[in-house]
Amino acid sequence: MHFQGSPNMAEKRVKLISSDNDEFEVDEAVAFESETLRNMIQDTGTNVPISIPNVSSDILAKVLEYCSYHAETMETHDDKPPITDAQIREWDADFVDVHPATLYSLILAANYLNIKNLLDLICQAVANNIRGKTAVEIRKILHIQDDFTYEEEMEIRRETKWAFD
Amino acid sequence: MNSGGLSSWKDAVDRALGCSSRDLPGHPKDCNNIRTDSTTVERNTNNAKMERRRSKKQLSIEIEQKQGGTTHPAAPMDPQIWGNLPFHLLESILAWLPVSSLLKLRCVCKSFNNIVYSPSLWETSRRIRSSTAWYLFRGEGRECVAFNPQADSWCNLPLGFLPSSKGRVVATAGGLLCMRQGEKMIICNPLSKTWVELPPKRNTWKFPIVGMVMDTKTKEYKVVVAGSNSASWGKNLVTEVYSSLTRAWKVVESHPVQHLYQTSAIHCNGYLYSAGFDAILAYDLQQEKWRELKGPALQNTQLMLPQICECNGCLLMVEVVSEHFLMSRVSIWALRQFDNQWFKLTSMPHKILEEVISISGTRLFTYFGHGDLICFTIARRRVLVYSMSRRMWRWLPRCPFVQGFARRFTTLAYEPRVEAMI
Repeated sequence: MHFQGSPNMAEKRVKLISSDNDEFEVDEAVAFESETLRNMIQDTGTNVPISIPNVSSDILAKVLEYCSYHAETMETHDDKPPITDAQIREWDADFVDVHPATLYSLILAANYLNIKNLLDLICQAVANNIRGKTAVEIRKILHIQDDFTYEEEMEIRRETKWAFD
Repeated sequence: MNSGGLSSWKDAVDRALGCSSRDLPGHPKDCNNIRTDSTTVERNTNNAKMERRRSKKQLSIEIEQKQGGTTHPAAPMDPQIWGNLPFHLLESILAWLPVSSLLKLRCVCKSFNNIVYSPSLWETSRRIRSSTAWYLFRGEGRECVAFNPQADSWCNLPLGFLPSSKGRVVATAGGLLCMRQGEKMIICNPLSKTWVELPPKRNTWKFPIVGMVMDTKTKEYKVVVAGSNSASWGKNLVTEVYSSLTRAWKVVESHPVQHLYQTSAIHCNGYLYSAGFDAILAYDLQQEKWRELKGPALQNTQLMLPQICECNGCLLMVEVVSEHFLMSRVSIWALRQFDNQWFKLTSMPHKILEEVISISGTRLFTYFGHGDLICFTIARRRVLVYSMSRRMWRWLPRCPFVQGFARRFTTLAYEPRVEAMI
């Protein structure tokens, strides 16, 4: 799989290998969106393929899609108008419009690869998913046991009641 | 139940907070608005509230939600997966929730109840939001009402945990309120329900200028109180500064003044500002010195005590021109930073001014600025706001609480911070 970052620049290419042994090749600038990869490349150079043992190929493809789009937004082209912030936001919103299970894999990948903006984007998307949920629903999702007594729970509900009134 | 995962996760919460759940600030038993709603009823109202919030989101009122338009809201979050979420990532997610949602999650479990006190969560929360401030409309008694611009709704901030009901909020900084009752000054955090009474000052003044600041890194807060003794009023402004590090007051400087000044000082870029009829006083927090600034050339300022306010680091003043005791023009002036000149930013549209007059008659309003909004308190529970970024005037939804809205209301910015230490 190839991701085009910047066609008009003769850049180094980086090879990445997913947990299920798929090989990806991207421009260095795309890989540099990830702090983890940036450190690895600076240590070992671009000749050796970098294996990413805890990210599967479908998730890695998605992450690289994000990185190459955002690397591209940093560039200026004479023939094309620059990408506006509104366009980026729209693209980001579409990007995280995926099944929660994919979001979960993405959050771990973004955390491991240390891509700060992507991590923020996904965290915000998950927060939006859980913000309407009740305490009972949150307990169920996160496998949490309710360890309050009835009185304790009522006490906290009373204390925080003003925040929702 | 994935109890193994849960316990390690809880340990992480306790480690992050450096305490066990027993060490949390106390839960007072004398809660004012005790309600005995059944769990189900409360849950339903909360759901209804969320639905309402969602519809507002579609009207794109909340900028912060711009990325939230997922089309998978019905897709369930599988507990088999999400139950294994590492703690620090859970914290990163929760930091994106509005403060009110976060407080609501306190009743999920004891660890969640602790999470809201986690400093790292609040640090992330502040990094991703330019301002989480609420607009606090201080009352005279035990209640304060606050407008939360993120949720576009009002809430009631109970101050019933304080020892006396007579104090008034005079300043705020970093999630703390500074209350004044006569000569007594109290610093409190209404969310953690903690408070401390400051030691007595050396001087006593009738209408002192009060300001408060908090250092974002060291969390040290300072309370600056300046006033003149009745004997020397109109001659010398004596200043005392309290520091939370030394836990003591010190007298810093005298400054000659002529008139009365705005009693609530506004913090902006290292200075505390207070407007008077002849000039604007600026207290340099670093140098511990007062200096004077020229105000805009306002007309008819004698109608109201000049007030200075701040929006996104820009100093503002409001000019009210009147004809036959009725307001005929209201303009906002701003201080340009590069040449230190005042210029007229905008004027209140005629139609809105008419509405204001129909509500307030000959009475004047008070105003206050913070973040993106200037709030004009026209009458009890009627607040008009001007958004600096959108250049739009609008009325806030009517405040549903009567008690908190004192007759002579002053507004302050309040950032809800559970973890702020008194």
